[in-house]
Amino acid sequence: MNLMNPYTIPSTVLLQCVDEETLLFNSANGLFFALNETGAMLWEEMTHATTLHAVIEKMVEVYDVERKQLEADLIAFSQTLVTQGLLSFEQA
Amino acid sequence: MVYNFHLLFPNFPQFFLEESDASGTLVIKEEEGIDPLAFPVILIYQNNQDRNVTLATDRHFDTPTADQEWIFTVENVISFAWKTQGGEIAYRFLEEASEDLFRFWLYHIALPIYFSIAQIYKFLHAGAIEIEAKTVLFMAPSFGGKSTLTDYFLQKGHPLVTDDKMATFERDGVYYAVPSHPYHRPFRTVEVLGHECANPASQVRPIHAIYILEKSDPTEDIVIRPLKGIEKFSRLHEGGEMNFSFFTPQYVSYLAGLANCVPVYAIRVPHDLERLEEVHRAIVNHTCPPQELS
Repeated sequence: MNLMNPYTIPSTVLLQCVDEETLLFNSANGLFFALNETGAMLWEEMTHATTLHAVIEKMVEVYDVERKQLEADLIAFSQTLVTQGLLSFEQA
Repeated sequence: MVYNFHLLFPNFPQFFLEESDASGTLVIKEEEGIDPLAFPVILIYQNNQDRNVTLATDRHFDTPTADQEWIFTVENVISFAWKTQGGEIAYRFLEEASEDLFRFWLYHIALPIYFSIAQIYKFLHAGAIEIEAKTVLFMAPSFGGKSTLTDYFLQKGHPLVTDDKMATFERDGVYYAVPSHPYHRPFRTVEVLGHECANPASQVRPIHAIYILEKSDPTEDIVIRPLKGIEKFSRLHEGGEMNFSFFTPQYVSYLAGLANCVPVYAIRVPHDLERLEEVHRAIVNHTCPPQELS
């Protein structure tokens, strides 16, 4: 995966917090997707960036995280979001 | 009152219901000049109660504006027309209109659409009654036993809040239930408002709890369990009503707020009419626990 590829979060995807759970709701298909604590943190950063590279740079600066592990987690997370229709990447 | 509004019918004074405190007044007046085909933007075209119904508006839009015009038409029966924040609804009778059909379509569909678009209320598909001045809601999929259970509670003397469309609003972090109209339809006959209830609720009250009915085996125990998180939210969303696409973000956010503020429980309801009293007692005791004997 090219970390410099811009991504887009569809406007139909809505974040909600209910009790202590964070969930994404895609109003385009009515499906829900629960985020764990790490996922919620990654999603929050992704809403303020446009590339995975930018997310990594920001998180490495702010949090005490190992870059390699963060990259792997973020790529896996992004791929899941794409599968669920919650994220899309522009072609390089 | 209907949905906590005084309805004034210049042409049908006999429809006037007893006065009491209300959120406001709506004038429902006849207007022969309404053209069901006047507006180019068709938002809804579907079959409801074996009739084709249409909701149209005068413009393309992202969010409704105060002066935007709407026409809701029930094929061959009636057209209702209003502005988003107009404070009145005009109607025109079509070929098969009657007083009963007029009131059915006004109370059951047109007013919920009006209140939703005006963002006065958000609706849930629920029955609701009062238990010792506490409003509780029953939600279930179609044929899930909601009307049967609501009817049983009415027979036991509990005031009716609504039997189908639950109008709600939020104020200062509290979610309120608004009594709809004093008619109850514990049967499936199209275009019928139902029996006039002898004991309708009259006050807007906070929503005390929501019970999601789960049909179970006739011999199964009646179990009430609290719902949390995504399960709670998704069950509420399944029972959404008047969830117009142009308001989806607001409606979803509203449901999340409701989920965070109001207890929601799943209750296993045995598929046996002989056990309705047990279900009734379980919900009453859960809502108002009996005083422990000292």
